[in-house]
Amino acid sequence: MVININFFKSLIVISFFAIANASAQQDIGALAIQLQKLDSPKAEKEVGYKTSSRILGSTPLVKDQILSKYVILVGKLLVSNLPEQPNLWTFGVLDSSDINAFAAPGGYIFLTKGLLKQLDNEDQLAAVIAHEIAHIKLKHYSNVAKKQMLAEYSLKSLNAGSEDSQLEAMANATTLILARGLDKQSEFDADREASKLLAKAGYDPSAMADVLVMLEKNAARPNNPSMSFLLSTHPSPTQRLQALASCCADSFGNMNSSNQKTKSRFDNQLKSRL
Amino acid sequence: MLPRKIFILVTIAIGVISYHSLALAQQTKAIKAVDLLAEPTVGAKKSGTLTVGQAISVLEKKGFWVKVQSSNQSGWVKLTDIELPNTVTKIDPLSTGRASGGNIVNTAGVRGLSPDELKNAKPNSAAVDQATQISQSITTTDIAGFASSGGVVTRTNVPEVKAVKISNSGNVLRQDSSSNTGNVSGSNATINPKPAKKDSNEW
Repeated sequence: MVININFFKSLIVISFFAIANASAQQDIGALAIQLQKLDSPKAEKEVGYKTSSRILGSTPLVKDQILSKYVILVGKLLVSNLPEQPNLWTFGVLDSSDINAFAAPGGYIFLTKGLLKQLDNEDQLAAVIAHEIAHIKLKHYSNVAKKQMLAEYSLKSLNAGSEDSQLEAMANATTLILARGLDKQSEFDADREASKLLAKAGYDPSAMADVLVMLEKNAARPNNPSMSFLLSTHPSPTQRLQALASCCADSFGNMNSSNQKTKSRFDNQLKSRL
Repeated sequence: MLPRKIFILVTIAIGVISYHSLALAQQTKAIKAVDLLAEPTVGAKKSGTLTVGQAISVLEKKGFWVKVQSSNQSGWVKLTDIELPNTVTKIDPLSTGRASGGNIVNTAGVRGLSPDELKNAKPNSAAVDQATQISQSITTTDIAGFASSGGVVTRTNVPEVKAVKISNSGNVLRQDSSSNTGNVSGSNATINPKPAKKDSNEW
């Protein structure tokens, strides 16, 4: 009996809160469902397209087709091991002296010419692309953009706009995240997944560490303007190297670098063209 | 008078040289007792030994390996065997070489890219279409040929790697891969209360 009374008391208290919050909860729930729709592969592709048009609005693509195709081949070789259709992916080289790379949902990846200039071999090029593939595969940008939308919009204000304007808002949120950076853990996760992807594809997984060593050297150069954007959006290369070595040095430290076979094409189709 | 001048010059030269070698070689310490190896590969010839806490200088890094020197011995160890010194120089935001609001870094036509330029960019969807078109022109046959001519062969038995968590202070919380006890070890002795999350994204 005592139990029953307590039970009913609890029920009344719960019902009270439930009624008080019902409409607000319904709104948030419906908003989350609405945002879930913006997360479909089709919507994600569209958000990525709109985000990429902003990236390419800030910096043009290089005109060099041989260089571009070489980068695309390495990118597509990496994603050919993934379940997604290879045609989902778009790779491009940005005509910028900055050392940086960008990924947008739906498979869009852009590397700057400044970054390519710092690379020594095809394994390192693959490492940089693999890091961006990892951001997309792990839905880093979509997840943060959705959270931001959830915080900024009510169901009413979201539904007031057309589907296109909703996707446009998602693209704006994604662009802001690109400009501001993800959390540190996402970057460590992308480095680790990149190393794993390199290992599976047949590249040297320690090339990811080589890239971080390269970034560390560039970051150590005082007032290096080509690194300021990347350093403002990523943990320090040393910290990333430490995190990557902690997870992967023992498992991946002894796999051979692909070989000398990729050296001449890297030199001819990339190094000599920058 | 002449020997005195030479003495001063030599003293200055020694000072400059030692200053530079000190600035180049980063000082740190070993956190594991390991062998120094002559080459950055497992099974390479032993060239010395390190004890825990031994003072070392970092000479070079390559992949997951680092070349260190301690007293009269030098050699390669894994990055995880030493405490990594942070080398990042603070960037002065006033001297990034960018004119305010402009895209041009210098007169040679080399473009930089800043967060503000990205945020305020006028969308260029024609460029995305162009990038997509070139990317889609590469066929699966092209990719197979590219892999084969480069000798890039898919590995099937890639070991699993565990996620590494970072504490709020920025220390790496290391999951000890040599044991399955879930114990966490690390140079900074920070304990991770939660077991490392199993990687759910299997590719």
